[in-house]
Amino acid sequence: MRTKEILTWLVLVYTGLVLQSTVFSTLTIFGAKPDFLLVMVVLVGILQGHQSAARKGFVIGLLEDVFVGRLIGSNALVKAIVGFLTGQVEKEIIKENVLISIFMVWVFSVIHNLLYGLLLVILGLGSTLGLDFLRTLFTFAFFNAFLALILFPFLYYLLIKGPLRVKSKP
Amino acid sequence: MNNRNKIFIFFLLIICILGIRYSSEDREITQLEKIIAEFFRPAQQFAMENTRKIIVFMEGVSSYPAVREENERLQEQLDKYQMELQREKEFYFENIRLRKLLEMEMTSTLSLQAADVIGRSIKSWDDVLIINKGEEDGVDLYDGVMTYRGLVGKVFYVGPHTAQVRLLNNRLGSVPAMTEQTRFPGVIEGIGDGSGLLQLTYLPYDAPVEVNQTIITSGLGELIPKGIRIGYVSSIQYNEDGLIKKAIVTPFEDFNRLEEVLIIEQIHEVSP
Repeated sequence: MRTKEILTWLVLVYTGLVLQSTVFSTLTIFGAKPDFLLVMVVLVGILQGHQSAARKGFVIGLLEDVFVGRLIGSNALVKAIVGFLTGQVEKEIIKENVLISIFMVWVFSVIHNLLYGLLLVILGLGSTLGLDFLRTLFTFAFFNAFLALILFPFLYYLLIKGPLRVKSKP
Repeated sequence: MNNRNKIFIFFLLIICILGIRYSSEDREITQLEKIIAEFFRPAQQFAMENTRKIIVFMEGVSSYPAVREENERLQEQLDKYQMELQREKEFYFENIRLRKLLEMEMTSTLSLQAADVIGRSIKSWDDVLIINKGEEDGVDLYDGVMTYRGLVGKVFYVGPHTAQVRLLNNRLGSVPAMTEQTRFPGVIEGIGDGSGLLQLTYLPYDAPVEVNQTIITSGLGELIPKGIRIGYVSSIQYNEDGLIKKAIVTPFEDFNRLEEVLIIEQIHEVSP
């Protein structure tokens, strides 16, 4: 990975974490707020495939966990899985279609939260699969879909043509 | 996926679960986490401050219709109160004026009747008043009209419930008058130049009329009683030939500010 690429990712993650802890924390509806980093992981999956998305999902999630300071590894694990799953549809969809990408963000946001809730239940850290959880789940998914609409052109450029593009092997 | 990768993924999974377990309970923050928190702090501070500003602005924008509605409601209330206050003021000043008129009505030997000024002539603002008393109230043609300050004119038109008063500053509103001190008679009339001043005309050059003397009604013609104050001599003007002079009289009453007047009942009825 090139230095420029690493720096770009760091700037993106830093910006995402700052936004999530400040601006997005004021946009809470039904306890849900948008997840900038998850949207990034899903779009990486759609635009660059499952391997790249799983790896980046893991690193991004781990950085998020360290930043939060609680349940370190949970976001790393779930975002890696979501990245891997998103990447599975890479070849099945038209990448340039922004509406499909937004729909994918909505679907994988739901999957992300279901997985996260399931993980907590398995580890005995919560019983989150109630009605409130479902309401938060769908609000969260809509939030992320809306955020994806804004981020898509920017991330599309970075991931396909810009410094974050994946070099094809000779 | 080869075995090596599978082992690596399994290893990461175990690490993650251990990490979750380790960090799920309350613990002391590590040095690394402190450094990370410090690293994020300036950006978070900047973002939060600006977010708050935006939120305050957006709240202002979203509450604008409600604020505007409230503002309109308060403005209406304010207008209403101002109107009421104005009415109160009007009542206060009216009260003062009416007290003075009443005082005069009670103490005067004249037969007086109070009336409100309800209009002015459109063509000559200074010269004609319309009052709310008429024939049915006992008002007669050529009745004198005064205030507690002095004579202001005489009735020249009587309707059933209204009457029109020609003020003294109208050239046609002449009234027999005299000086209070020297009892020298003359006729007082308006100069008619819009100044509101009156004149006592055709006085012989040696007539004992001087500045600051008070001019009162003379009672000649028996229409308006004798002794009602009109004004004071403010200057003397001689004719070119020097044989005749006239006294310029400043009326005691300001004819532009009349709101209530007293109608003086005639000494003798006059048929129009």
